[in-house]
Amino acid sequence: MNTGIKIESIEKSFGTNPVLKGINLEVAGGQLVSILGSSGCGKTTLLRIVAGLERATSGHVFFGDELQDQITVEKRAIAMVFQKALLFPSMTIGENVAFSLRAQKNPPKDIDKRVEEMLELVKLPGFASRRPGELSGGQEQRVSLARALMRNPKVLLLDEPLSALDANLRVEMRNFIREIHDSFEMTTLFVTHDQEEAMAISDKIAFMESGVLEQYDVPESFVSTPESPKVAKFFGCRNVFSGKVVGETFETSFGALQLGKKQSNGSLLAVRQEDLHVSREKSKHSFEATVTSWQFVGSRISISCQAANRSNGEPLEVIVESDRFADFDVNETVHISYEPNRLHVITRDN
Amino acid sequence: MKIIFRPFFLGLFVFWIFFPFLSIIIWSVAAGWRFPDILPEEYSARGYEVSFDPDGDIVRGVITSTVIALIVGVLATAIGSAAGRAIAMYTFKMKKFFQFLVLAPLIVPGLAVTMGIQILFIKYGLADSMRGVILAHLIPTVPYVVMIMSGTFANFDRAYEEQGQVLGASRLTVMRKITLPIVLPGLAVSFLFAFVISWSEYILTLLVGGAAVKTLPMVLFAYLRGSDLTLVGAASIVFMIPPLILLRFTSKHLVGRSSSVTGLGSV
Repeated sequence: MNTGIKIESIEKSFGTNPVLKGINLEVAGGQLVSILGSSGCGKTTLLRIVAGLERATSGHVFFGDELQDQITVEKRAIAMVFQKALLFPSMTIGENVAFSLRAQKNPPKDIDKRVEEMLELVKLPGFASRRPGELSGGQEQRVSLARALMRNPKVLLLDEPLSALDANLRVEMRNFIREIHDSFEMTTLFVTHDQEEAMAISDKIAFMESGVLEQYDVPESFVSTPESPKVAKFFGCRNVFSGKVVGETFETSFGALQLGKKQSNGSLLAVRQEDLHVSREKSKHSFEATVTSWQFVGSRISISCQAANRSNGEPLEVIVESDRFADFDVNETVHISYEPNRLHVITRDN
Repeated sequence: MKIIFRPFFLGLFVFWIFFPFLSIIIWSVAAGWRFPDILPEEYSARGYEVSFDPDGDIVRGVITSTVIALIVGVLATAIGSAAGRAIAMYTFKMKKFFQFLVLAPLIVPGLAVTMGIQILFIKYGLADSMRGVILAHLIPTVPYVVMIMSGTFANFDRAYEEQGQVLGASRLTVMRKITLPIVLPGLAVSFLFAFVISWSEYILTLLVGGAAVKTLPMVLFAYLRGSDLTLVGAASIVFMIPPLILLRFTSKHLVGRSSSVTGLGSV
């Protein structure tokens, strides 16, 4: 049975500066959950509180049913990997990996064998006698991971372990982390600022901004059903229209849009740019706009339009992303069509 | 021009540095050396015979000085490391003031305060004792250790200690197995400095130890006044040896890869 993590109304201030404003988070045992957010949002502080490296101003942390608040760092059933590999320079790779075993009161007898097995697991067999300086960044981080796993933690804490690596290696390593997580019985908290990384490997994502947990959900929800405009923006949704829900439609300043399903009340509508299509013909669910500019974004094309017929007369930009080139002229009047099922009313409007 | 002058000035420099040593070495084996002779007429081992006499003042002075310098080295390194770490890694109230206080003995002339120290030590029964001398020697040594160790700890990444903790190591284990090996070069250099300063300390030993604690500088000073230059020469050579031996074992930390100690260059 895997140990879950419960974070209960955690508040943390440094001096008079509040960093965490009442975080509640429950992670089911055996899951890999990412804590995602831009730098300074408090995600690392939250992880350090879970580790016991930082003391919360108020609130509680539980592993399973066990309250952790009074338990010191070294006695918690955790292991942590930081952004830097932090291999102890005075020790060989093998000694580094064996560190947690040797730090015990009664070190086991088969240390060498276990170290070699662990190094094989992280694909560095035969590295035991090497020294930290002889390894590449990715190898160092794998050793750091092996050293953490050697402790057999119930909770694995990863504090941006991939940020210092280059792009290709990051992809390889994140998949590796997921593999490792699945082959051990543990719950993993993975702090990152990289949206793609979090989406790729997490069971659930906890998205934070300015010390507040904005949304805690499965990865796809952040794209399809963002709960706040901040979430929508962070996950790349370019169109957020204000208005109000009236029956099965959302009334905007440029007309009513059909909602595909019954949605709760809210004053903002998130429409992803890739869910919109530009065409010269009117369709069942479309609205009028003028093309203002377009540009390539990677292999796709991003078309900026100006919504027509606005009730208040002010310009409103609508962005459409398409995977094929369409030869629209600037200032041409077009019809932007949408899929009612893909429209999402944001319930919070902070 | 450059080619001619460079060897000349280099020679002058070497002469400048080594001439005093040269004359001491010659004096230590001379039976008599009169002006204007370039070298002594007769040689003798008398200086060294007296110096190495097991019951002589010099051997006893060496033992006393070694014991004191070793203890001072250890104590100063321990105290100064703690202070150096605090200055480099923590923020606390009145930090600037404490920083000044710790380094003050380097700025304030020692003689100015020794009177006060002497009176205080007599009052608490520390005068004329080895304990008192050791305590007094901490005054000029601790500031150097603080300087060296605050530099060492400024380059030390505290994350290493946290990494140890999150792997289940107690504070003591973290200190022994992680921090200590990393700051070892700084500790070695600190110990060297403290040892050498204590080894050559004269004024504080004289005022606090009185006639009771006879370290080697005390003995040497007595000989200097006696004007037996053969003996002074030999004793001076003996005086130089222990710090050189210590330097032999710590010099690797003064140069090369250990960036913990900056500004000392190649020694």
